[in-house]
Amino acid sequence: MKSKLILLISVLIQILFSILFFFFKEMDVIRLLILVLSPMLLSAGLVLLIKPNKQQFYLKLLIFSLPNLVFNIVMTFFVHSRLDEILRASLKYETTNLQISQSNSPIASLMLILAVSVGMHYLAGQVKLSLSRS
Amino acid sequence: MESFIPSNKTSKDRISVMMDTLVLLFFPLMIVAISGVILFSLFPNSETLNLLIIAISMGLGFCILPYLYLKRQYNVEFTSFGIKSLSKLDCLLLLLVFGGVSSYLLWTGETYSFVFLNSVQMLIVASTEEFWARGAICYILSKINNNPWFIIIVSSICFAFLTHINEPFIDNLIYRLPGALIMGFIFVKTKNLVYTILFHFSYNMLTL
Repeated sequence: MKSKLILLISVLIQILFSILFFFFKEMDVIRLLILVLSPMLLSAGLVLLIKPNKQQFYLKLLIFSLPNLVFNIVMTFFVHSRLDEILRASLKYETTNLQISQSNSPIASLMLILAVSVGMHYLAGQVKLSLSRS
Repeated sequence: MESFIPSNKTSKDRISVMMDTLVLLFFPLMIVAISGVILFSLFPNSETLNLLIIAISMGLGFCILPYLYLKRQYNVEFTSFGIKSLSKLDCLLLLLVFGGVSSYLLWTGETYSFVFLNSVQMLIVASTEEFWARGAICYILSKINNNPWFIIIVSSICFAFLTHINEPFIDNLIYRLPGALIMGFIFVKTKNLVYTILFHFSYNMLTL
């Protein structure tokens, strides 16, 4: 029951952050980074609350990371629709050493974010396991 | 070719090793990118801090994070990353490479300050990237499969296409992948990071 409640909270967090994306009138790369990483960290943090069970632990972690994975895929479409606007707002950060461009492949970037999300949930699971052992 | 055998063995299950590989492949890139963006935004257009920012962000993501992670998960030593004490021959090779590359660039008309600043920057880039791509990634890949060709090919693909994710695919395929394969081969053959760092340094310097 507790696991289901935590999963529900995780889903609600992802929905909340998806809505937040449209509340920002000016979206730049730093805000976008915070908006993408915060739900990931919160979702991984919620893994610390679940009951560690060695059996099917990886499956459980995967289920808990699913809301954030879906959020990241949905966000990719949202970001794509506001790409020019985000680029314009982010140009203020451009310096000699920091180039702001749209040259990154969206699929490669999405894969990177999804892998980091899965990895983050795995790390949180490892922390939970080691905490429960000690 | 002899198998690539790491010094420490653990009894971790296969899924855990795969997940550790995933963490080691993607987290360092994320840390380097985020710390770079934050530091360059905080200190814009600062030429003097440029090298320090590169050293901090790449050192943090490509060296400190993978080392601490592998130390905690697999209790690795520095030798597992290919870090060994320098022999007299290694020192001679270092001098030859630095001297040769610098002389060539000066001969082509570059200034002393250009050669010096780029040498320092490329040394930081080559050392940190090699520590991660060859030292850490080859170590964790050897836990999945000890076949040297598997380690060379997979680590090279990861280096060419993940580290340079923002570069065009064709550039990575024809310019970075061959170099990465050579460096992977050198590392698996010698298990010494100095040779791959020197190759990486020369490759970057000569293609400036």
